[in-house]
Amino acid sequence: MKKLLSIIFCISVFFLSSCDEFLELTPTNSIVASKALTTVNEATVAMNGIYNRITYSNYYGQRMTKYADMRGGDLYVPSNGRSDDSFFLFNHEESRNNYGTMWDVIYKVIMLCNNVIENIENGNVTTTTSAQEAALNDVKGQALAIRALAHFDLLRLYSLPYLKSGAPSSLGVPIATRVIAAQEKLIRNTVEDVYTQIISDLTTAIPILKNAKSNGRINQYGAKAVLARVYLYKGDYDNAYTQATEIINSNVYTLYTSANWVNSWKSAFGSESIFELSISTSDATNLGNSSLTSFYAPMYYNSAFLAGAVASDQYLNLLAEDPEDVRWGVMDLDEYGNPIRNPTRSIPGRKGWIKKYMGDKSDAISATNVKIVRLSEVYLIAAEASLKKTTSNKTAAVSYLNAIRSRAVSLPPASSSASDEALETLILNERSKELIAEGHRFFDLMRLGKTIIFDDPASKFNEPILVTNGRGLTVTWNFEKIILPISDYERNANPTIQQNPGYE
Amino acid sequence: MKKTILLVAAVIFVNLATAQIKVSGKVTSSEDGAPVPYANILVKGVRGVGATTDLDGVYSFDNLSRDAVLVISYIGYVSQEVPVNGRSIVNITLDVDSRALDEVMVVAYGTATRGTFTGSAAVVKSDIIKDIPSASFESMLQGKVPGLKWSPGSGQAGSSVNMRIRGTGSMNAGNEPLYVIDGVPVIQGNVSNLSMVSFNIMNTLNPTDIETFTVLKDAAASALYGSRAANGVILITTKKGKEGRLKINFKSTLGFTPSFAYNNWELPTPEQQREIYYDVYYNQYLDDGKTPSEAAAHAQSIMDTNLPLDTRGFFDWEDALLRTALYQNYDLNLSGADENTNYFTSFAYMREEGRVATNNMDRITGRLNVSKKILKNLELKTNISIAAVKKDGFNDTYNNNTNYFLNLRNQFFGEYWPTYIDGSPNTSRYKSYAYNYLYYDDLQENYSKMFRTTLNETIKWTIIPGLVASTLFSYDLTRVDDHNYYSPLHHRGSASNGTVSEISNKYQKMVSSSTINYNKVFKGKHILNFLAGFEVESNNTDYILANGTNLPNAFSNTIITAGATTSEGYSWGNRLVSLLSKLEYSYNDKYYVSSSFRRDGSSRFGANTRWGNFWSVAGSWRMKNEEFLKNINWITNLRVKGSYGVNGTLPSSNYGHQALYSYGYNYLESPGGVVTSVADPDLSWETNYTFNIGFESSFFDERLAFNAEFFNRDSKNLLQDVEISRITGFSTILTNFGAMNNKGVELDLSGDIVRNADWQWNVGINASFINSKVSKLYGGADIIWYDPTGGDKQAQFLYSEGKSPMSFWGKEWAGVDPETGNGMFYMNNDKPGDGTYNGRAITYNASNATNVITGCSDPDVFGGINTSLRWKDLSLDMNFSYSLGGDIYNAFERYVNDDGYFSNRTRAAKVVNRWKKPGDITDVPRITYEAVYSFFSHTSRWLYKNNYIRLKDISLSYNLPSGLLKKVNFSNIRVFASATNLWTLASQDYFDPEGNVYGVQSWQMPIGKTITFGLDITF
Repeated sequence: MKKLLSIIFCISVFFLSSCDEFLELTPTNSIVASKALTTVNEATVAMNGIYNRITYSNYYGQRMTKYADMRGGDLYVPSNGRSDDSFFLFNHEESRNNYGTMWDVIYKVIMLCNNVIENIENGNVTTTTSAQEAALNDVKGQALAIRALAHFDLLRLYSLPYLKSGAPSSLGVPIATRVIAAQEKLIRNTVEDVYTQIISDLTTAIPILKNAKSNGRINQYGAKAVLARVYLYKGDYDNAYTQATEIINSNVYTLYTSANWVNSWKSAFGSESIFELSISTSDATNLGNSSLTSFYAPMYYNSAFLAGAVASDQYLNLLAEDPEDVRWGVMDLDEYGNPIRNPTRSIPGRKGWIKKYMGDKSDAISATNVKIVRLSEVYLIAAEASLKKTTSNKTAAVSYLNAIRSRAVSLPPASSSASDEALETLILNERSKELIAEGHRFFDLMRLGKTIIFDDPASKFNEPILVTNGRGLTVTWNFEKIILPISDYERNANPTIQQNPGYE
Repeated sequence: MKKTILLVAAVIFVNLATAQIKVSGKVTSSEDGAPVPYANILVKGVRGVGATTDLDGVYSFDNLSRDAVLVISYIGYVSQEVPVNGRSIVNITLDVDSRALDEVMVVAYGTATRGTFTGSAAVVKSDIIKDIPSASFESMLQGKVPGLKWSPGSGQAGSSVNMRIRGTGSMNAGNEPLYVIDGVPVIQGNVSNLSMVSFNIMNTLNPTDIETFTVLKDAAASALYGSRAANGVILITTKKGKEGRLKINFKSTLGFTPSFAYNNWELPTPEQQREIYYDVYYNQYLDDGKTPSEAAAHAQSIMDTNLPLDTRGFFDWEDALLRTALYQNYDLNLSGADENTNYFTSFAYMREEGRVATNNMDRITGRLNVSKKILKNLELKTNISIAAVKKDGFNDTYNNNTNYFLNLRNQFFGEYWPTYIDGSPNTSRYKSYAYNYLYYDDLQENYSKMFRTTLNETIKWTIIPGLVASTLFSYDLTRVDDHNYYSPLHHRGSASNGTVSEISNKYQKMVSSSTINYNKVFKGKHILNFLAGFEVESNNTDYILANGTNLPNAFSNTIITAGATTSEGYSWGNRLVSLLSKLEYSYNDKYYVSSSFRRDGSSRFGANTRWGNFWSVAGSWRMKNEEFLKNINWITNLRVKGSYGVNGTLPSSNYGHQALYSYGYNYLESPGGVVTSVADPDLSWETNYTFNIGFESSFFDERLAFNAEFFNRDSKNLLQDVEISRITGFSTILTNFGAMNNKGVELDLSGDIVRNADWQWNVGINASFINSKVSKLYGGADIIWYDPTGGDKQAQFLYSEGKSPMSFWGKEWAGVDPETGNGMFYMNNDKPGDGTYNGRAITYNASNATNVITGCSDPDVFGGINTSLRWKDLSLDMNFSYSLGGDIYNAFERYVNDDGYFSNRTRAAKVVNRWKKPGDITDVPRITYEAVYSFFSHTSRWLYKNNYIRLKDISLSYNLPSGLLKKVNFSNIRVFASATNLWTLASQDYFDPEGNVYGVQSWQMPIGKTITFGLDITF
């Protein structure tokens, strides 16, 4: 018996002494976070993770992209209960329809950027060659640029347009330029401060980013394009002009010709793509039924889908200025235009289905890239900035505008003799025609204080969308619900954060 | 003088010596003839002389008076006095003591006698549930164990279930008890990776193989399981052979489930449905200020468009999609034992169909339990089991593409036909967005296959009588293969030209446990038992997923045919190292004390908090054995017991203490990684402090028994997902903070009302009164949480200090305004609202009102009533379960009683009684397409009082007379009929009152009413 006990004792001592090692485990798909970023390759891997997150349906994968289209009058939601119809209805409340998940995902992207930046700045990532040094700088530049873009997107969702009176000193969003500890509770900076931070991040990023064309990642031109857009929103047209024209003049990117414009939507990384997000089944970034593809595709095309919105009459009428406009090439029959076995709801020939997200069919249809910035937008920024900069240059404005307007092959080119207002309208209309379904219309109208008109007459369809507690038929920047509420999830955990007016 | 003394002594000695003889013999059991080791043999009237039987039941005395009387006793047997009468060989057969309080029961790391066990434990023998048709055993425990509550997850065959023992003690770390089969903690819960289809691993255990269940409830009973025992422990012991010749048993059961157990939002007639549909649009136009004739024209045009009558009449979707499900089960087992070998083998096949045609479960199980004494003091035991289970299922969540029950009640109008007039199938979505299952079912496959083998090997070495060392090694390999296929023609496959996924999970569990047990009787009165042990457990799961899209044709359902494939795979797991010990002492069958101690180290914690100590102390006093009660014959037993102890709950997260950086977030076909968690490095287990007092009594030779227990369970350091600012990039951090308290009383009364040779009638009733409350939360801040089942926040709850954890949180329904027909909600704030009702401010729009606690799903009392009636060879058993007080939330009603908002859907029969004109008193508002969205808020409108009693099972069986059987060489033939959920009485008649574990009933498949017939033959 003594012998047995001593054996058991020995076994126990042996096991217990090696126990602590025995009890250290991590899953095989993970490592401890503090040891994750030590090499340049790992920094690139971390950057890939950030892009992967940007493709989520709560960010550019669907919601961020469709938000401005659904709210800007270019789209119409056919019936109650379609995907995110609250964007269209503006019936947000603090406790529901608040889209707090967009806030969450965007701040997650910011946290991941800060994690990369901090690890690089703290010297955790070792480099031995100058090539590695440059690669690491490029990663840091990408993280800074994405951080800036994310803050800018938050401003667009949660804060008043910069040019609205009093807006610069009004509630912006909390600036996060470091990894925020679990128990910290940040409050909102002013709109002005956030703009300053965004511009600072982008200007820091631009010189260290690579300037070669880079598929799927943000490069120097991507950062410049975002910066041009930021300046445009801020009303700093001189700087917007500088950034936009530098991109155009670099000749790294070229406009699609009218002949190949339609096909550009069926292939990835075209000559205009300055920053295009890659969505593919092999990366599991394909969003299937929460993709933009599924949002626009009608049920008759594929029974898996139920279009969340169709192009509105006013958009179709605008595009119909020129029946030969090449951009009709991405318009197809919608659920009214091709209603299977549903004759009474038909509006024959109605082409309200926007087919910018139908992919090249080599992968799942819903795995279609999302273009965050492309050269056409930069031309239109250049046009608007030329018109509005300190020393207005209408000739340049018209020249940049006509480069895009020529896609409406039967329309006469815009003339520099037109009034400023007329030219501005032409540019905004061109932005609408060219950039529909790419996330601009609502922001364009709001940043300039224009009025959004919704043409949702109840008589047209027999299941009219119900606008209860939401907007009227027009929306201006004086309407409080043009910006989203801070969700009650954030407010419960962080009670001192300020709510937007109208949601208290 | 000295000489005289010596002489006298010598004479006496010689005298005695001449009267002495040598006596030996064997003690066997009357039940199976097996030897009874360690039986105590005393000589009546002689102090200090005694013997103990050895492993073969053999004893011997060298010098015994010829007329000595031997007193033989052993736990579990009736003590006997046997006069020697000069015989040199005295063989003794002990009768098994059938008294309940002397029953031996399996407890943590050993056995105990029910009447002396100091902890709180309940035993359920498989006899009483043997005829109940069920794939898994859990439902059978409902109503039979005080303090235990069972909830069905879904009526789908093979779904996982929930158990709660003595309330809810955790917010985050799980509330399910620990399952231990034959001494080994096992993998438990849902093991399928198919989204929203649960597959209960306990389906791999054939209920026929089970001998007993022991449910451990207090710390004294369960603390030996340490950091996993806070929610109680269910010990399952499988069968072994009984001494005697080979016994062959064959049992066959056939059954059918023709209907649901209760109403489930029955539909109105198709004509009433059309009337409701019409009103939705008619009232819409009135609300828009149109004239009645405009409204009528509008409603009629919509009826004509959306709900045209089919010339074939109304299609009966219920009849087409639901069936009378069949149940079949065949069990064959062989068992037997002799002195050295004991064996039990079983082989069984079961098929259980769900009422939905795509839902089936098939199972093959086999078991071999063998033990063999290879030496007199060395025993080897092997238990091997194999199970192959396949479940074909469907998505039970709120999903109008997949959920049959939901569609039947909310989306299939009789006007919808599965085929067009020309006979071709309808492949497009109906107006309600439902799909035609009758077409799509053939274009998809959705099943899980589980294959499980367990191997338990035990070596037991009796070093000296009373000292036993035993070591056990267990290996459990469970492989679950999920298959999910959609043809390119299926609406879920069309976007990617068909998809097929194969998901494989390999769960491996290894347990090595070694104990040494010392049992010693001192001076016949002091019994000491000491146990010490060491245990290591390792769990690992390997996961592999392969996914293929772009299939070549409409019938290729394997990955290899896919044009594009992706795959992923990784592993995770956890480990536990433990030291354990137990010390028990009893004096003279009157006083019992025990204590236990376990030290656990878990890989789920960081180095600072890895090790935890868990312990218990307990005592009991068997008053009946005191002199002052000993001779009161009508009292059979009287005992009090008490215990206090600490046990714990591990977090459900394996790695919650460390911030992890995970890969698989790929981009541009390059690896990508992200920080996936924010962690509290000092994360620790939840700790439960449990206090228990019990009173046990039985009278008139156990014809009447009454037991009562009181417990108080303080759960502290509860893991809480504390909400943090999303600006951090995370939404919550797992922290130990909260506290909860459960206290309650369990009563159990049973009696043999009739007990004679021909007639026996026993009735038992048990009742549990449990009071639960949240006692501490992080920062005192309330936490809103949602029923996690169903996937769409179907019910809203609030954790608030001082309130039950099962408190429903929402707007307070005030009823329907008799003047306007609008639904009203009490404001519960100081705003004026839209008017007043019952003197309180009300609003027609729930979003204007303030949330309050509207109810609570905890019942005031729940339990069971069990009765068995025997007349000669005929017996009738019935088990009822009941629950009184408490509320149940119906999350489905917001769809089937939606005030008209979801215009294109069907509604429940309840809506027929809607408000139609001023003055109508009803609880269903006026319907209109312009309905305020309030019906979709979490409100007490969907809350019902929940009182019910249900006949869980009833079985009637008949043993053929033995005289007849002898002629045909059978030892027993039994025929039986049984039924589950045959009768229900509930305080509402809309839906099944047995909700899920949160007290919510929803769109999950309702449970059915099953009737079976069987034949049980023993050779």
